[in-house]
Amino acid sequence: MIRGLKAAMRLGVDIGGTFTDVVLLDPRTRRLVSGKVLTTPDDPVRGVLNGVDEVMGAARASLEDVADLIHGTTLATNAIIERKGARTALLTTEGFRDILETGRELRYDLYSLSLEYPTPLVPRRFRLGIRERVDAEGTIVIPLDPDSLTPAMDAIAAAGIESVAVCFLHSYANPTHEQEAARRLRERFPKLWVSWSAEILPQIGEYPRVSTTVANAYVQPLMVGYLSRMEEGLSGRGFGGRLALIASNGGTIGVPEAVKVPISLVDSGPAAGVTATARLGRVMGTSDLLAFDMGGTTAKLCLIRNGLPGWTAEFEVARLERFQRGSGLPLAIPSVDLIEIGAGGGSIARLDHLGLLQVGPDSAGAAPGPACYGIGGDQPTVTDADLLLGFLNPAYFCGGTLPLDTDRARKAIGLLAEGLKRPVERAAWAVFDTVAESMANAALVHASEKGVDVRRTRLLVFGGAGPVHAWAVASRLGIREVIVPASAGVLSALGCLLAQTRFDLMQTLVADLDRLDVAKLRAVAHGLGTRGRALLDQAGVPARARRLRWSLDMKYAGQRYQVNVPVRAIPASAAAVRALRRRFGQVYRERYGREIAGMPIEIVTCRLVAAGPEPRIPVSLDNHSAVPSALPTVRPVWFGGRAIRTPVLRRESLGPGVRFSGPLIIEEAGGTVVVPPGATGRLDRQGSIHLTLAARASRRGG
Amino acid sequence: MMPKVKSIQTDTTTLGIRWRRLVAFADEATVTLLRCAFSRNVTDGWDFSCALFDQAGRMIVQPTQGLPAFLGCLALSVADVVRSIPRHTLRDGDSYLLNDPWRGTGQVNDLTLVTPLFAGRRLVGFAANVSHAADLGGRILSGDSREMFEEGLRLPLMRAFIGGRPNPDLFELLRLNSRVPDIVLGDLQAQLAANLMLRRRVLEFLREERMPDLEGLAAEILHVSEMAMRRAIRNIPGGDYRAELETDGFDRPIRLAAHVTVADDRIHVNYTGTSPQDPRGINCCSNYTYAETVFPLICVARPASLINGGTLRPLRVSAPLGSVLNPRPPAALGSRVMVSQFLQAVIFRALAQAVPDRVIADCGTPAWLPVLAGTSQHGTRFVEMMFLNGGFGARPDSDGISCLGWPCSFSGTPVEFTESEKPILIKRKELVADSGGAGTFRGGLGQACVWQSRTSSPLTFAVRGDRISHPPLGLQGGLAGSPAKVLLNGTPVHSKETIQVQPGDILSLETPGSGGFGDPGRRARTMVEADLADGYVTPSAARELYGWGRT
Repeated sequence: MIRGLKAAMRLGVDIGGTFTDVVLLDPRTRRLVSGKVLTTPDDPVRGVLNGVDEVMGAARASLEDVADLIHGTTLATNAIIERKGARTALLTTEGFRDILETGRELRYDLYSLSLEYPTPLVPRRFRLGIRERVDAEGTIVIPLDPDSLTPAMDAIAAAGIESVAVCFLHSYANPTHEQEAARRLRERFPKLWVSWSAEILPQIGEYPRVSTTVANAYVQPLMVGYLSRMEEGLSGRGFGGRLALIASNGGTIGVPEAVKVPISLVDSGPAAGVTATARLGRVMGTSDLLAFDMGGTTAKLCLIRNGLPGWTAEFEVARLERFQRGSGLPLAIPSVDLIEIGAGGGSIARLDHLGLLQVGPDSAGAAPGPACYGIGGDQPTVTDADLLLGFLNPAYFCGGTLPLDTDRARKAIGLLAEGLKRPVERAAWAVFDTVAESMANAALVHASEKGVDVRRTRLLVFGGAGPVHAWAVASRLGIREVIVPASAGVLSALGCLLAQTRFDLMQTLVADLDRLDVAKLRAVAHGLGTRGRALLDQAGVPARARRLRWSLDMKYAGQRYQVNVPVRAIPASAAAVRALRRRFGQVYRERYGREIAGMPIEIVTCRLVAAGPEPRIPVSLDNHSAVPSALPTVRPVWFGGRAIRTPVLRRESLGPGVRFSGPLIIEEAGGTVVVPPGATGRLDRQGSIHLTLAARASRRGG
Repeated sequence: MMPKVKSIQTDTTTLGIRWRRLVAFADEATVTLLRCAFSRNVTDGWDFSCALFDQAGRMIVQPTQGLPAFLGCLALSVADVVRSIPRHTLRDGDSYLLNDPWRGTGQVNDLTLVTPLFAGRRLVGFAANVSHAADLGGRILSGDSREMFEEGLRLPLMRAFIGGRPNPDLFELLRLNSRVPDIVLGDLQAQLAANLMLRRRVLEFLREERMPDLEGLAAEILHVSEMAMRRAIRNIPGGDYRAELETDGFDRPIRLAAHVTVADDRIHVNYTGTSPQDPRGINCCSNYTYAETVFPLICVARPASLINGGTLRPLRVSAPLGSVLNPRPPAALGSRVMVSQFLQAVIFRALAQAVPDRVIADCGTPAWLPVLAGTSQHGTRFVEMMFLNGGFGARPDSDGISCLGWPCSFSGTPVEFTESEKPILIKRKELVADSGGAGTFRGGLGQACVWQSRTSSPLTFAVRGDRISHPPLGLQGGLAGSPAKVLLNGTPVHSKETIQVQPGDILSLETPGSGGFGDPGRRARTMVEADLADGYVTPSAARELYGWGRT
């Protein structure tokens, strides 16, 4: 197995709303081969298989020689946003069925009278109260009443429910009622999907737990169907390796865990891209970055500080107010802290009732696609504008595999131009400008939430549409340095191959540090360690490559919130406990500025991150596609109000160390880099393009 | 997002970045206070607010999350504190504590902590926050006191921290007078941590921006917000608008009368005609009246800018001295929200005459904020507020929202945490069918919360509610939401008195639903049917109020 991993080929796949990107890493040739095909929204598996076929063909390799295929997908997220999940019911403690709806009762905007909250994934009619009760100590106050389960199960049968969430009060302290209800449900309905909260999230706090469990139940049938079709399709092509997914924590998980807790796949695609960015940044020695990923459907932005992306223990999906915390559905799963907006190549441009130009958030996606794809779309999109402005080469989009139709783009944008009473290129420019503005605005909000001055970061750009738009976003934000890594167009797929196997395990135990039972703490840790090692074994991580990172959530007695204190080992002696006390004080001080002398300290939760090794970054990230290099050409490109004759180069014709200045277009199969007038650039040894924008000169296109 | 104003020197992008960063710092201070705190009214109820002020004590930014009532008070009280302390006596590392109801927020339990910020020897601004302390002695926070002297310690303005360390005399004084000193003093440390977080971030910011202090930036920010508010007010038709309403009161109803004058770009609210101050603890000091009045005005005006002290400049509020909205000492104040939380309703009713499509029907205010005291199953003493919100009013174009913190943005008390710390079993926390007022757009539902004492010793329960006999009214033909209820073992009890809950007793509370908007007969059939299927409305109510099943 170890030998196999080293020598064998690996596939990374990122399924976006518009494109499915596939990257093959071939250790024999030390080469990356990549492909970009249209996503097949009705069944994303087909797109993946198309992409895999294309790449394997280009590499003249066989799937039988591929050791693993790791992929990221936004399928779970989209199912929740678009409400395409299963018909779901909730069984909950009688008298508490509205917790899912009333949530925290907290307003997310202090002054708005038009607040709206997302409709719960389970409507009230399918939230069924069950007679049972467990108290905070885990003691059964009212035994589970089978007579109250029967009418609930009848209702489930009558309503054609496909998936059920079971969430009872205090189940983290005693899960027997949930287990019993789940067992009876499965007994009567063998095909029903059942998620129970103590398994998904064994944690105190009824609202985050019920919200997460319900979301899990809601996406489970869809995700399981998808994964089994994927396994089938791949094995039909001779694939015998390991199929894994990127979880929202940026690590990889196998299919069995994904089937059990599919909600941990929410935002898995973007997490892979961010992981890759952070790694690349560290390789480049650039630790403070703004990662900017613009694909066909959405743009994602994530601040990376000291080489690491931000983390959040609670993630919100389907926000109704895109920048407002509290306007979405909370999921208590560890995830990369990023901001996502509906701005991509496929974003549709239209005039609103005031005659103002709006771009997005809806996207033409892969079907019907932008007008210029010529596959059915006729609405004007960002990609149509990019084409008319001369940024894109109609004969070399996706390396020429997807020829673009300029006439259709002109016709679509022409409709806007009429409404705006402007020439077509001016209308196209307005679309380009508007989408840059909304991405810059999102970046500003995201950076500001962290208190960071966005101007002091560098923009690391990727995704198919990213390198076309990066300069316009950067200049609006006052960012002068833009980095376009090699393989930028397929970086999220590549990120899948850079992710570690990773499991986040936790166990709550409340213990006073003054009266700490060291043996009990070590027993808890031992249990976690055993589980972690077993999971890593299952994932094929050899014992020598295991990384176990321990930490303890601690607080002053009486506080509600904890700080996470990383420890090298779980304390075993009185001296180690004293050291732990000092370490807590240090972490608390770093976070909040001061300690509180004389206040008793508690351990609340023991945590373990069980991870495999960080896969190495291949020597060269340079992308090899089968397309032959072409000679430099010149074409008119619109920057603002005027067209400038702009040289066009192929990326593979640039050698390391080469310097250049804008205006310039650099094309490669995975995407197009636009270098605006006044900017200078160079290529580094890893193949990354570094652009330095003229100070403010390029605002509004120079 | 930000309006362009001629006198602004900084380009709007740069000003926008700087402004948003300051807001982020206030947000970070807010999270610091929340996470460092010990009382459940902070950690579970969000009963506190942080903000940043310039050298003159003008509020430059407020955080994304906070209580509008506290923020409005801070805008007045910090300026007051800054004026009253001679500049040369301010020291880096000192923090001032204010709890005088007539200078702060109208209740001794609210501790306002003001920290001067120094860059080297230069005063650059102030960080401040106000947080509700669990107990400062006196009787348990309630409505049944007759003088403020019963409600705990009233302190002179003094330093709580000197050179970064607790003022030992003050801390000892608080320790000796509180039922839960560790929680109160722990929260005070959390308040300091929040101000120090703001200090750290502001000093880093000034260094990065090479600015000597916040003065220039503050002037620009305040100006932009002021101009945005003035423009917004001009969109409200000028005129005099009057409205009145009545509350249950303690022993007798309280009349609230508002006279709202919109003149060009200014608004003046005058409460002449309001009931005189009440003999029981439901009086609301003028700072708090001001805060709860400017809040709904901002909601209706909706200025296109972030809110701060500049937003408040075009607004004036006056209430007759000696009235329930501007009482003289020693009026009792413990349950001021039982009056103040009606002010947004009376303002909306007045402004409904000017902008009927921009106001909402009566909300299920006041939130039920009972205080529970006793000994926990772990043997520790506790005095803690619970938070139960009512429905949020129906809008001109959409239904109300069930159980939402309003006008104070309180979070609801969670079930599992509460049971893990207090000797009670919550038997039910659920929406009440038919509690939302009928209308073309239905009011939000209220909730029922039923709990039982599981301990062998009696618990003290200060009830603190209203709207037992004055349900939230509808607008434009919409009907009233359900009234509130409070029952002990099935028997109604006084809504504002303090009662003893004996072992095994069952206490049942219902928060009010909110009023409906528009004629119920015009509600879409599909919406009535959906409400029926989900049990928000019962079949009999649907027939009676919406004429369902008749056609």
